[in-house]
Order: sequence, then C-alpha cells, then structure tokens
Amino acid sequence: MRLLLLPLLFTAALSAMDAPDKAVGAPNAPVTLEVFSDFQCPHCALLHFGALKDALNDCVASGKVRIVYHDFPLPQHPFARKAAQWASAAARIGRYERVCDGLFRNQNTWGMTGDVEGAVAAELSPAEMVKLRKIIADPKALAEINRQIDADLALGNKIPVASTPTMIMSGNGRRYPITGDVRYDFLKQLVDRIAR
Amino acid sequence: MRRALYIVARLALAGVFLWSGIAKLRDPWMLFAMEIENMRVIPAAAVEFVARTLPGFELVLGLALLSGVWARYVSPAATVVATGFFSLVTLLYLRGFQGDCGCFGPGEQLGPKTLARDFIFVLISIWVTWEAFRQRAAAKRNRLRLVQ
Repeated sequence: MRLLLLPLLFTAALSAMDAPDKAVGAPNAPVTLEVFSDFQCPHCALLHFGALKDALNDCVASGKVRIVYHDFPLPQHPFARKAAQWASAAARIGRYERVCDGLFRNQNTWGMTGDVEGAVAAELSPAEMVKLRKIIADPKALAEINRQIDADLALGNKIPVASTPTMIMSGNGRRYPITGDVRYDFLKQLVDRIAR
Repeated sequence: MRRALYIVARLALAGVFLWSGIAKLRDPWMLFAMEIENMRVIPAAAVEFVARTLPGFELVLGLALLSGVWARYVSPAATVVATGFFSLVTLLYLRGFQGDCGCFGPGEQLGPKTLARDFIFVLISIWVTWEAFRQRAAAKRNRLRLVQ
C-alpha cells in the first residue's frame, strides 16, 4: 500500500513547488510539511494555532522545515471554498498567513453567515482589501484560483486525504502521513529525526 | 482436524500481532504517538509510553503465539488485547472519528471494514483461547486414563 502511495506523494511534493505563494520556509529545508486543511474545520483551526504556529516559530524559523499549504474544502462546509478563494487571493499580495489566522480565528462567525469578505477585511488594511477585491472580481484571476483549489483537492484525493487536517511530512527519502491536530512536541521530534 | 484448525488459527493470530507490531516499529514512534493522541482516548501523559511500548508488546505476543509456548496464558492475553482494540475502534467509530486507526502503521482510515476485521480477530482469539484450555484438559484426561 505504501509503495503505491509513494508516486502519489512524490506528485504531491512536485505540486507543492508550483504554489510558492502558499508556502513558508526555506525552499531547501530538509523537511517539507504539506498541510491539507479546510477553513471551516475546527480541528484545522486547532492545528493552525497549535502545532503549526509552534513549527513556524521554531522549525521553520531555523530553516529545518518548509510548510506548504493546500486547500481541501470539504463538501459539508458551504463556505470553505469561498474562504479558500479569499485566502489564495491574499497569498497573491503576500498576506496569506494573516488572512488564514483571521479566517481560522473567526470560523464560527463567518461559517454561520457566509461573510468571508468581512472576516478578511478585519485582518487587512483598506488598501490591501482594495487589491484583494480586485483579484476576486477579476474572472481570470478567480478562475486561476479555483483551478489551484481544484488541483489541491485532486492531489488530496489521490493521496488520499480522508479527513482534515492531514499533513504529509517528507524528507530524507521518507514520507509520513499525519492526521488531526497533533501536539507540537511529537511533530518536532519527528522533524528532528528526519532532519538528522 | 480440530487440532490442525487450532494451529492455523493460532498462527493467523500470531501473524496479525507480528504484522501490527512490525508495521509500527518500522516508522518512528512519534508517528504512532500522534495517531494515538489524535484519538483522544488516553491521557496525554500516557501517549508516549503507549506509543513506545505497544508495538514491542504486540511483537512479543505474536512471537509467543507463533511458538505455541504457554498457550493458556498467551491466548487470553491476545484476547484481551484484541478485545481492547475492537472496543477502541468501535468507540472511535461511534464518536465519528475519521482519522487513522493506527492498526497497522499509518495510512488506514478507521471505518466499518476496520470494525469487521477487528471483530473477526476477537472471535479467532476467543476460539484459540477456548481451544488452548480444551486441549490442555483433554491431554490431562488422557494422561489420567493412561495412569489408571
């Protein structure tokens, strides 16, 4: 089974290189962490503000890990794709992390009303929002964003990602799937083991 | 015939425990720890201990079942472990858990197939335990008959 997964995971790694605007960390980091998440998923929010924030401040800052974000909007979450669109648009102006923080922090609010734009606006300056609205209003740019989201979904389905959040940690010729909002200390120990 | 079936069942059970233990030991223990942690069924402080020791215990149990020594002690232990695993996956399934079951290393999503498979393991282990005791009792009776 794992042998069958390897080519797919390799494809995942290649695809990750295609979306540098949704990645943080040194491109030549020994460990790559691919994150498949849904902005309306509560466990994704827990992972985002838990282990991933710690990883950003520690492993990513030290150059050990590169994090690549993939959108995986689940069908049961009606506004997850819309949120992914706004986040991807924010990535184009270099504000992906900030918008992700806002969307995950307030997922209960906009998840009820569908006011994703309002949640994003609360995180950015008016000038940045003008740029973002321009991207979202441009059919060509939006189509490209949707293609990127569809590519992430297709990639996730190939791996297969059965639930969110799912992470694929790769490095040193090995790849490990990790599901759920895991504790940072285990994640860090695994990073250290792979990066050794 | 029954004796042969008992040996086959015992070896099958040994294979399951060996497979399960080896699959987990092939990967760093942290990976199994994260799978256990994600289930939220045991205290956080115990996660590392379980992740480090359970695969080794499964391996020992598998080897003991394979050798057939102390069958009357090893088979009940296997039944307890198999029942524990089945109870755990049932509980998780009822809770709507959608992550890895961690049964044979990472990558297996918990679902009805997991439940059905683990239930079969429980049935096999109960039967192996029953047979281990029955055959021991039968051997004792035969010895007594020979003495008389």
